Amino acid sequence: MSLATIFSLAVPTLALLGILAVNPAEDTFLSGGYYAWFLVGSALVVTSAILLLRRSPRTWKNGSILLWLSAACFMGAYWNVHVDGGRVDALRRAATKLVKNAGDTGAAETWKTRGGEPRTADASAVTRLEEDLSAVTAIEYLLSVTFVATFYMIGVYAAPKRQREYHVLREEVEDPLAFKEIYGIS
Amino acid sequence: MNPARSPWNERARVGEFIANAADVAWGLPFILMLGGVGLWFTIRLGLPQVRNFGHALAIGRGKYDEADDPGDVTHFQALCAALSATVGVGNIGGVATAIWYGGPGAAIWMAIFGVFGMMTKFASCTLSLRYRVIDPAGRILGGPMESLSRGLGKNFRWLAVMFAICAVISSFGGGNMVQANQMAGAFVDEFGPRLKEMAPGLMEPIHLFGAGTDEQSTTGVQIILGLTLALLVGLVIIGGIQRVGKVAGILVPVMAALYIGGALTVIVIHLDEVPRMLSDMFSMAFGGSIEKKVAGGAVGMTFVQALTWGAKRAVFSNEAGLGSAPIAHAAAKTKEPVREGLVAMLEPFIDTVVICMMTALVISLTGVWESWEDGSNGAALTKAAFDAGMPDNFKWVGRYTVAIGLILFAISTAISWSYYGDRCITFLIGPKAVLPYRVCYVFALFLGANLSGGVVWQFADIANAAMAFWHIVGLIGLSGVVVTLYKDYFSRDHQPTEL
Repeated sequence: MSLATIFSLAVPTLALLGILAVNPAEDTFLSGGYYAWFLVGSALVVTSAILLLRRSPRTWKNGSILLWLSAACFMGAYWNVHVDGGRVDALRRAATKLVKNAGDTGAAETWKTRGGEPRTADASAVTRLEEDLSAVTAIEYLLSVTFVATFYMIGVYAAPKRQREYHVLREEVEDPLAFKEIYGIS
Repeated sequence: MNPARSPWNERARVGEFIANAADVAWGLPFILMLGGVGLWFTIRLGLPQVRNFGHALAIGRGKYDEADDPGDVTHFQALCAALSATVGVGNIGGVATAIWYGGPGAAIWMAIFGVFGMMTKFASCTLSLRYRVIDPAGRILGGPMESLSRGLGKNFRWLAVMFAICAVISSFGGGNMVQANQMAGAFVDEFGPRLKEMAPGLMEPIHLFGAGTDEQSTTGVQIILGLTLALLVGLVIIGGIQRVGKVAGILVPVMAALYIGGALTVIVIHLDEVPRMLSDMFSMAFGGSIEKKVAGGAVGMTFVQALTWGAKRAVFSNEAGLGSAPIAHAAAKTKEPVREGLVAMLEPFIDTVVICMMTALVISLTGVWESWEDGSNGAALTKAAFDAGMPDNFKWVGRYTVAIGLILFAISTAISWSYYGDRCITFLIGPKAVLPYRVCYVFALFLGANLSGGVVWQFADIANAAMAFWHIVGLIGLSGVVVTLYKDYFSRDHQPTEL
C-alpha cells in the first residue's frame, strides 16, 4: 500500500472522528447538509484510494475523477455549514456590523436577509454567535483540511512520474534540466 | 404574480448566491490550500526564504544580469511589473479589514503567511521560466498555462485552458474595473468636497447608461477620470511588456517610497509605543484573547479570528499561488529559472511583510481600529489612522498619502493585469486576439470608473480564486521539478557579472 493510499484513507477517517468529537450539543443551531456532503466525499476518496491501488490507465482515470468529485463534495460540505440558516462568514460579518451600528436598520435587515433570526441590535447577537461558533469553526477547519488533503492527492496523481507509473502519459514530458543543454550551461 | 417569485426576489437570490460563492471561494479551504503549498515547499527546500534571501536581493539588484540572456525585461523590471499588480488595495484596505475583524494579532499572521507565500511564488515563477515559450518573433509566452500544459503533459491541457479563461475574466474584474472604481472612489472621497465648491457641475449626478437611481449614476469628474485612466493605461500597454516593465520600474519604487515614508512618519511619531504594541500583537496572535468595546457591550476576538483574518488578507494581498505574477516573471532576461524564482520570492516579502506590516502598525498604534464603526470599508479606516497619527498641522499629509497611494496602486495594478490577460488570451486564441483584447481592456477601465459593479465583481472574485485551484494542481504535480531545479542551481557556482 502506497503512502498516498494511506493518506487518502487516513484523512477522511481522522476528519470524521474530529467532527464527531466536536459535534455541537443538540440545542445548538448548526444546520445545513454539511454532514451528508462530507460522508459522500469521504466515500469517494476511499473508493478512489482502493481503485488507485491497481496501476492501470483505467484506474488512474476513474480514481482521478473520483478525487475531483470528492474535492467538490468537501467544498459543498464547507458551503453547507450553516448557523441559524445562514452562511457562517456572512452571518459573522452581518452580526458584527449589527452590533457596531446599533439601531442601524440597514444592518438589521442585512442580518435578517443573511438568514439570521430577527433580533435586537445588541452585543449578545455576536457574543452568542462567537460562543456557539467555536464548534462550528472547528468543523470548518476540519472540512477545509480534508478538502486541501484531497486537492493535494489530485496534484500528486497528476505528477508526470505518477502518470508514467499508470501508463497514461500520452507523450514524454521534457526533462526538467533540458534547458541547460539548450543554453550551454554545464 | 407570486411575490416570492418576482424578478426582484430572483435577482436578490442570485446576488445572494454569488455573494456566498465568493465567500466560499475565498474561504478557509482556499486559504489553507495556498498557505499549505507555501509551507510544504518551505519544508521540502529547507527554508530558502532565509538561506537565499541575500542571493535573491543581489539578483534583483542586477548583479547577475547578462545582456545577451533571452527575455524581454530585466529581473528588476519583472519584479516591479509583478509588484505593481500585487501591491494595491490589499495593502491599504485589506490590512485594516483584517485588524478590524481579527485584532492586531491578525497582522502577525499576515506576515507569517507572507513568509510561506514567498515559497509559493518561488515555485510558481521558477516553473513559469522553465516552461516558457519564445516564438519566432522573439515574443515570450509563459505562466501557469504553459507550465500546466507542458509540464504535466497533454492530459492536463484542460487545466491550462481553465486557468487562462479564469485569468482573462479576472483581468477585467479585480485587475481592471475594480481598480478603476477604487481609483475614482479615492479621488472623489478626497477631492470631491472641494470640487463641489469650485465646480459644482462636475459633481452633479449623470445617468450615463439611461435612467436609474442616484446610486447608479456617475459624475462629470468620474467620466474625466475614467477617460484619463483609459488613455494613460492604453498608452502604456500598447508598448507591450517592455513598456509595462519600464513604467512599473519607475512607478513601483516611487509609490512604495511615498507610502512607506508616510507610514514611517506615523510610526516614528509613536516610536515609544512600538515595542509594547509589537509585544501585544504577538500575544494576541498566539492565544491571547482581547475584547473590543462596542455599542451595547464588547466583542471578543480570539486566536482563531486573528489567524483566519490574517491568512485571508495575506493571500488577498500578495496573490501567492494565484498564478498571476509568474506571467510577468516569465518575461525576465535569464537562462536560469531558479534565478527568477528567487527574485519573485522577494515579492510577498515586500508586499506583505514590509508594506502590510507598516499599515498594521499605523492602524494599531493610533488605536483607530477600536473606535472605527465599519470594518468592511478598510481603506477609510486606514485613512483615518494616518489622519489620527499625524500632528495637527500635518493631518493632510496622512490623508493624501493614503489617497494618492490608492490612486497609484490602482493604476499600476491595471497596467500589469493587462499583460496577464494579454498572455492568456494569446494562449487561448493566438496573437490576433491581442489588439481586440487591449481595446476592450481600455474601454472596461472607463466603465469601471463610472459603474458600481456589485455582483459582476463578485463573479470576477470567484474567477480570481478559481485561477489558484487549477494552478495549485500544477504546483503540487510539478513540485519534483522545482526541487530538481533548485538543487541543480545551488550545486553550481554562481559569480556576479561585471556589467
